[in-house]
Amino acid sequence: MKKWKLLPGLAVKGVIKNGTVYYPYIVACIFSVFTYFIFSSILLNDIMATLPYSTYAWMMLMLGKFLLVFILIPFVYYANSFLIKRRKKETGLYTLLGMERKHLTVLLFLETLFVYVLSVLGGIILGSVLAKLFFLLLLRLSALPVEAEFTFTWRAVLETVLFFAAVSLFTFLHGAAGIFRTRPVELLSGSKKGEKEPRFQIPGALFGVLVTLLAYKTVFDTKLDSTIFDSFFLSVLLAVVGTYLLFTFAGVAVLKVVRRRKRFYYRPENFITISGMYYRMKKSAAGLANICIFSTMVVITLTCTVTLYAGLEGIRLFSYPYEALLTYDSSGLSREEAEAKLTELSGKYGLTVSRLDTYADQWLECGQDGDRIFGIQQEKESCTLYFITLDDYNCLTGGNESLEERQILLYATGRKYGYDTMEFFGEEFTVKETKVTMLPWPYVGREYSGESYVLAVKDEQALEAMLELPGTVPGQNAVPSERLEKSGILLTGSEEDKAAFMKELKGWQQDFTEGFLTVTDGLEGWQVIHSMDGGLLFIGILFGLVFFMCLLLVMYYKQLSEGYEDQGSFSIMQKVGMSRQDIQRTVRRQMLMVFALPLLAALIHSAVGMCMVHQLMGIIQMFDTILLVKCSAGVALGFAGVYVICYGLTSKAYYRLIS
Amino acid sequence: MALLEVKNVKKIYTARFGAVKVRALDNVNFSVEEGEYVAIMGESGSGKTTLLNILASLDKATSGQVLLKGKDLAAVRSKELCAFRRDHLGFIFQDFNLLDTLNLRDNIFLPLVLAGEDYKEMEKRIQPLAKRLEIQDLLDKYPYEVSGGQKQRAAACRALITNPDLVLADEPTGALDSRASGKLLGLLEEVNREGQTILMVTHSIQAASHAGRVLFIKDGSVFHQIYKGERSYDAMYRMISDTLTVLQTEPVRQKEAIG
Repeated sequence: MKKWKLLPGLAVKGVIKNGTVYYPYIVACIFSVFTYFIFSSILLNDIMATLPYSTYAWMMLMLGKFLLVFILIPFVYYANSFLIKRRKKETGLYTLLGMERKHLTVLLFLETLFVYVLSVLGGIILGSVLAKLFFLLLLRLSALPVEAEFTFTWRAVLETVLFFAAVSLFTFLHGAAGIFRTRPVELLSGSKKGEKEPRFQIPGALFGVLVTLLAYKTVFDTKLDSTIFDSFFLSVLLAVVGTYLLFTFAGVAVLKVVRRRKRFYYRPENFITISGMYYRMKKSAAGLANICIFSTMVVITLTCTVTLYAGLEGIRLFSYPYEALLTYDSSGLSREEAEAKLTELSGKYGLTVSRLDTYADQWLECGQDGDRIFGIQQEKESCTLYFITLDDYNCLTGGNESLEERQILLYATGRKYGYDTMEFFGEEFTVKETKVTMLPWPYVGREYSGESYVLAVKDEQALEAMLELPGTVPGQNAVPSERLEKSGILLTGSEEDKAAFMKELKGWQQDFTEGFLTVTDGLEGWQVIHSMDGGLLFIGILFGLVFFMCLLLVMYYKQLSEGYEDQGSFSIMQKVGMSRQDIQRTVRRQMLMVFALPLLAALIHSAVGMCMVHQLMGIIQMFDTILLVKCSAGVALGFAGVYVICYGLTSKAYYRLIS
Repeated sequence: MALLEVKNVKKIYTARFGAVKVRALDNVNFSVEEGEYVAIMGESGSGKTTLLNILASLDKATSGQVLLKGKDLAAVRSKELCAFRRDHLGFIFQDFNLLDTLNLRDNIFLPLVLAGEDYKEMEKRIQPLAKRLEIQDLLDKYPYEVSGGQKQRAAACRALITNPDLVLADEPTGALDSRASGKLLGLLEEVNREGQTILMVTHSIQAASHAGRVLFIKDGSVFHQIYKGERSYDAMYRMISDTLTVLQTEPVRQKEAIG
């Protein structure tokens, strides 16, 4: 009976005695609880339901929480198996001292409970303190009113407690199954069991290369269409499998081939390094693959986040180039009247007009084959042509272009048009291609739901004549849109004044009956985009942190296990005739190479992944490729730096063990 | 000139903060001639391992001299010690000390590789040796794939492959069952007959009976020695056994603690 009383104390002591492995694990658990609690608190807060435009932010967070679950479970599982492996010997000793399996199971249960209580308490306390801060961060990122009061919800606590109880129960069952499966003798020699030589190294390595290349090919073939998410998940899956295969087989296979070259292998400077690397690669394949995958995740998540933040203005302007845009029919409202109304209203609310553009456009969907434009055909590529007059063009761009007869100015928002002439429904025009900044048609730089060309034609007569051409060719499927006038305005002033301006403008539009008139509310559009992208940003920041923490813990555990492994071989090598300095030098070189590999692979993965990110960014209408390249280069560089620092910090644990 | 001369060797251990000093070796004197097979016996704590560590240049004597082929070990600079050990000494340990990261062949090659030996020469040397130690079929196995006796024979192979002046064996049979022990001891005896000098520390009478001479250490100094001469193995066994009885029933000299 007394034994049972002993167990709780033993459990707590077991955790404290193994502090080097348990403390980082508890910190990681606290952080996991913290992140989960933050998501949960924000999602369950009543405020989120009442704030205007918060729906998208809420949806993004919901998605984030869902993904978080899928990251946290395997992560906690991995960390936990490391702990169990490390402590096998201790468990074996307890068995010898007369503990039965049921006692061990209870001991494990108590330990799990101890860690669980500590991490849930820590995480929730930390979370309650910081939840408000993170909530403010979310509001700020989503441009939602910051005055909103954040309240502590018990439901979030309950949800967090239950979720982690489930996770802990899962890890406990896994550990308990381990206890029942192994014999005490095995437990005793547990952490020092020889590894089998992995078989099928070369085919395995080739398969790994194949799978990784397949992942890359999927990325390169991805187009911005409805299948993009399928390709995204497929390529992530392939890349993960490929990475595991590569780390398991390829490194070992390469070293094995090197080992066959005896004259090279049996040289003092190569021998220890190669054999050591061979052993390390064999043992640490999974750990290294994990490090590589988490590194890739950190780089890609942070790149997305940073690019999104830096490109927010561009995204907003892409969908809503003007804060208010009037679209009208010239029969009911003249350009002058529209501009006068906008100016008058902005004056009334004390707003300064920073830009006021008026233009008229007509668009036409056609088929394209090189420099030939014709009616839409099933099997031919399609494009959209926007027609404006040269005057409007000069007005929008602030340029001073002029045109000959039968000459058009062409600006492609996607890929370059690239021909000097255009055969437009049988008639030939000379083309002067330009690349300009025009608010209504922002530059995309690649195909985005078909090519778009803006054509500026000499004058109104020429434009009308040109748009009559499709009708003259029989059997062509091409009808130009109606000609509509547009007046867009950008304002400087306070948000309240802008809102009041918009309210009155909309009121005016509702009372307008003489013809067609619509108002596009850019202010509201910006809010919606901001809310959604703010939610994305928030997830990006928190996920970046979570991935980073996973990376740090995996790296630390890797260093620890390498340290335990090397303790023995160090003294042997010394006895056989290697000096301490020599050993330390080769070991340092091995460790550097071993830890440089995942970073290198992660950077290559990320570079390829950027092509996917480039496409994905198209979904939220972020088309600034140069910005993306800059951000990803910056993030990759910064990450490499942080990785090296992390390596330096965690390697202290290693050197502490071997010296 | 003797191959190994141990003159007035003393070793005093001091606790880190210097209060208690323990005399582990007190004036040890003996010498080993080339081609001899010497066993050093003594109880746990008698100073055997300290002595062996000093002979192996892994530890330094507090005073006294150890000369190997006339060269004072204390005079070898610490930077050259590793190379010195590699070139002149071979080691066999109780717990084998094979690297798990290497297969047996590479474990055996290790000292040669470190010495920068040519690969052809390594191959040439390992063949007869592996055959004689009966591990020629196991060379591609890893230490965790073979038995203790096989491990120890591989370790012996590693110790012998450099053609060392002196092989130091620290309880080589300590972790082996009697069959494996017998086999290893027989092999060592054979190697000795071919001219290899061996110095073995042990407290197994069985192991010591194979040696040509047995030194007994008690409380840090050489207490007695017996030569095998023309004696049979069994006679030697009895003699050692009797000496040990005397050694153990002698009134215990108080270990001095100089404070």
